[in-house]
Amino acid sequence: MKNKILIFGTLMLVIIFAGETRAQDAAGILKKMDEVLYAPKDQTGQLRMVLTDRSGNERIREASIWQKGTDKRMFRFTAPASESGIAFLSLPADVMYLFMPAFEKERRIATHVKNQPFAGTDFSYEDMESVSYSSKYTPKLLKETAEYWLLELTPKSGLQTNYSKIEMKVNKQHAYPESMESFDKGGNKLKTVENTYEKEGKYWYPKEIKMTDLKKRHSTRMIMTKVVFDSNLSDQIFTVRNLTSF
Amino acid sequence: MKKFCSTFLIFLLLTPVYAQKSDQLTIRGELLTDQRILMKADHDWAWNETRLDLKLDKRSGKVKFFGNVWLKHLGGPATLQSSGLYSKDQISPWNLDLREAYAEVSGFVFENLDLKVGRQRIAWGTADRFNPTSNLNPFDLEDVFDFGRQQGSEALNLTWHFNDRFSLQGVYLPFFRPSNLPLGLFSGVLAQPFSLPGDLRLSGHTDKLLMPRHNFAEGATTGIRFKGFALNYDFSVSYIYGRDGISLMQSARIVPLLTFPYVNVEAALTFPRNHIFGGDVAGSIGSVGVWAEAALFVPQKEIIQSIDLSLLYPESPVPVISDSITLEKKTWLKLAVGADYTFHKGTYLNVQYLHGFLHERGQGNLNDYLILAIEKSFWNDQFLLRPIAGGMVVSDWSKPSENFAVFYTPEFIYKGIDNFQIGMGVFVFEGKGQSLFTGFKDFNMLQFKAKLSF
Repeated sequence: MKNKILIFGTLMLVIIFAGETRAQDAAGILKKMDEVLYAPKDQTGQLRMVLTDRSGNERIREASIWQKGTDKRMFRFTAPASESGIAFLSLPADVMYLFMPAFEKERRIATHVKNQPFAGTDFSYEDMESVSYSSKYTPKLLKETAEYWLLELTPKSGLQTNYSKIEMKVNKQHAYPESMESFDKGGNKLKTVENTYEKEGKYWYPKEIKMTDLKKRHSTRMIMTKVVFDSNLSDQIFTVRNLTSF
Repeated sequence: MKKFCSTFLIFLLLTPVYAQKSDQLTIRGELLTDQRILMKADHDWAWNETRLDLKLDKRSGKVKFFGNVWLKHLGGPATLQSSGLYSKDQISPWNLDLREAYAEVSGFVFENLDLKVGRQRIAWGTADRFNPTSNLNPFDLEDVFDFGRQQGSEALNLTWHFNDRFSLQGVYLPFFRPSNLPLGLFSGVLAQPFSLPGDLRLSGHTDKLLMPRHNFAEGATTGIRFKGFALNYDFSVSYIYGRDGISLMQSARIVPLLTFPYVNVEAALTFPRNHIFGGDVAGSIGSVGVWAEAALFVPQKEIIQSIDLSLLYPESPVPVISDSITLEKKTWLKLAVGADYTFHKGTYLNVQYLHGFLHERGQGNLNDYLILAIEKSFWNDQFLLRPIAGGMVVSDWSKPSENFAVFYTPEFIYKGIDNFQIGMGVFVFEGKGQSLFTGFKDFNMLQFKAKLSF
């Protein structure tokens, strides 16, 4: 009897230890991926967004983007004219502001808006905010192949998000996310993301992100051009003062 | 004057052609048409507006220039005489409105100081569209349904940024300008009620405005605002010393006519001066967006309305004057409290309670308003439907059934083509008693709007 208990205990320890190692691996992979995504101290660029509906009709949006560290991002539409000047500021601690030129003042984005489409695109305000995945999600390694790791990300306790989980393929060679599938609270697949990367200097960056809303059968391709890294952007860019002085 | 304005507009339009090549002057704008038709039997046109809205923007380092001009055609022919047929201005009335033209310097002398000088609109407060604390610019009431629209004013505007979160703003508006009043069918809706004593009947009236002198003591408006972010809420506190842009009758002289009891009234109108202490806060409770904004108005002096009846009593050895207080020297508080929420499928709800509308003033004279809007975009944001939009007002809670108004303003907008939108809406009013919206109940309308952005 004693032997049986000993064997069972040993097996449990092995299982728990193996599970722990796997979790640590997943956390390590996600951390490494965040380091790749947020490797530049700062970056600026121009975005061209191609919105495609289920009939194949396309609409174009253009914007400028500024990013610093892992938690500051400014985004300002430059075209079309009806959207020009609309700006979005993402700051640490889940603080986001929207500036609509017609109202001439900024407005805090309340939590209820975060799962809404950002200016008609398939990206939500939550997708647009600048936050590392490690700080929001607990990862689990689902699968490993020669080319990629498949991670399942579940929201950390207390995080307000529209997603119940995200499944993400992380490229093993460069540690960037190749594709993602996000699921709603009912477990239904909500959106897919496909990324195409390019290398600029020493950094890999997503040259094109294609987000598809499966329910709407609508997609947005976000194509980045004129990317500049490490230009020592001032913190003053990421302020309400700058947001409103368009 | 119009020639000057036209020349100025041409200058504005031509300048960018030259400047665009070298200075990256950007020109944006909108072309808007807004047509409203009464629902009553003959379906008269209630509003006809075509507006060219031009925005000019040029940056050079820390300096930015911004200009906003509205060129508008409003209403129908303004002549009933053949002589007017020689004037295109009368056949097709138009106006030019320089809404803003200012220079803004970020980091003026000190890195933390911003300067904005010129004609500008200064929007204070965090409530949605109805901002009790935003009292620096006079209201632009031309289109009385465009609630909260304000004129530009010449101003010196300085803001010191202590850090990313806290700032102190000081503004000085040297000239007082009154609010412009509603046009067309709606021209009388803000008129002050005036009852003649006894059996007198009004034949006609004239009035004069007691305009303040353009100096610091009389005409200037000053304001200061401390704005910040703490405990996850945006907030501000403010103070304004300025004048109410909507006039108040200070005196009237009754002039009897040969056709007694018909009389003429010669009135004098004043613009009361107030101290206004404001505060606002905005943030979230749970996932619901919330805001509250309040302004305490402290009138500088009591306004006594004197009705001079002396001409009715020529034999009287002393002037016969009837005095009544039209604005007591008592404070009143305007308040806006609201919340908004977006449901899972994208339906947006916005509800707001107001105590005191834009034009209301004086302790005991403010009404309570509940304003509600529900909207939903669909087909990838190509359509916006606002099926429930409107509200209600109760002007006397002791008899609400006799003193209320409801207004319903749903609309439907198509936005399927970039830079173009077209919409249709309805204005329906009903009510009893005395309130702004009760005054609209004869003006139920259909509205058609189209806007092109460039």
